[in-house]
Amino acid sequence: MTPPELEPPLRETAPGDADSPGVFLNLPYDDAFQDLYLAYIAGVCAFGLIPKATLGIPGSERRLERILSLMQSCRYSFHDLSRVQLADNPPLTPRFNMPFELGMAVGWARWGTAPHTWFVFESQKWRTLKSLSDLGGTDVYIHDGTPRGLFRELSNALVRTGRQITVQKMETIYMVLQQALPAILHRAGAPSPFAARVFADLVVLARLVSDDLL
Amino acid sequence: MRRPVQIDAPIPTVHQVARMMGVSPKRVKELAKLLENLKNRKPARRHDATRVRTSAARNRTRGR
Repeated sequence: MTPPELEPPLRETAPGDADSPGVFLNLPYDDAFQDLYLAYIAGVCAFGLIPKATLGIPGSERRLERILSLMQSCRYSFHDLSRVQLADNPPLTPRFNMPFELGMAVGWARWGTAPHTWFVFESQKWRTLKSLSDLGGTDVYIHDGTPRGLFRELSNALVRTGRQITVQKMETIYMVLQQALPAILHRAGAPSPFAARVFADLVVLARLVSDDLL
Repeated sequence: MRRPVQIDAPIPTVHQVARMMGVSPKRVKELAKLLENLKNRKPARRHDATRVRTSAARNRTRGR
């Protein structure tokens, strides 16, 4: 195995780099979304990209600044608008974070100093026409709320040069993440997978499985 | 539907990903070991409720 210090440095963190493999994941962090959360990690890693999420944002930094900086370091962003309904717990409020961060990505893609491509995912066809009609004319990838649907849509959205990424490969990575999750949660002492440490472990494990499948 | 976006960026190695995610080399080894264990794990036994009824079992209850 090549020692880490001999590997060429990744230019991932610099905004303006078209080769950046980072993908900003704009997802809801709730238990009902856990399967799709794992599926996003599996799918993104299968394409040789690195998922980034706001889970790792330290409390000491101004959150909005950190989100912007994270987004700017990523060549792509995936925005899942499938859980735009009112939250269960009072007060009943819609969840604005995902559409808000999508707006930031659209602005960065339009006026930013680096190329950025954003993708919108939903579980229900036509719902964005009602929830976010400004997206009219934009391709929204409908995953039906299932991991398999998400893998299908990722295959529609992305194609990797020199490497065929199949739905089956993504499913294999996803299954391994599902099986490994209890052990990872136990070690991190985390009650849910929506924690920075757990997210990092899942990404590295997905990368290991992806290597293993080739 | 627009054409798929082509990704040409080099695929980062496991160690590059780990460094970027703040995961230590020791933890990478542990995760690799976890993966090996999962691969070597025997498939779980089928739960009794989903057991296929044998013809002998069907015969035992027949005619009651």
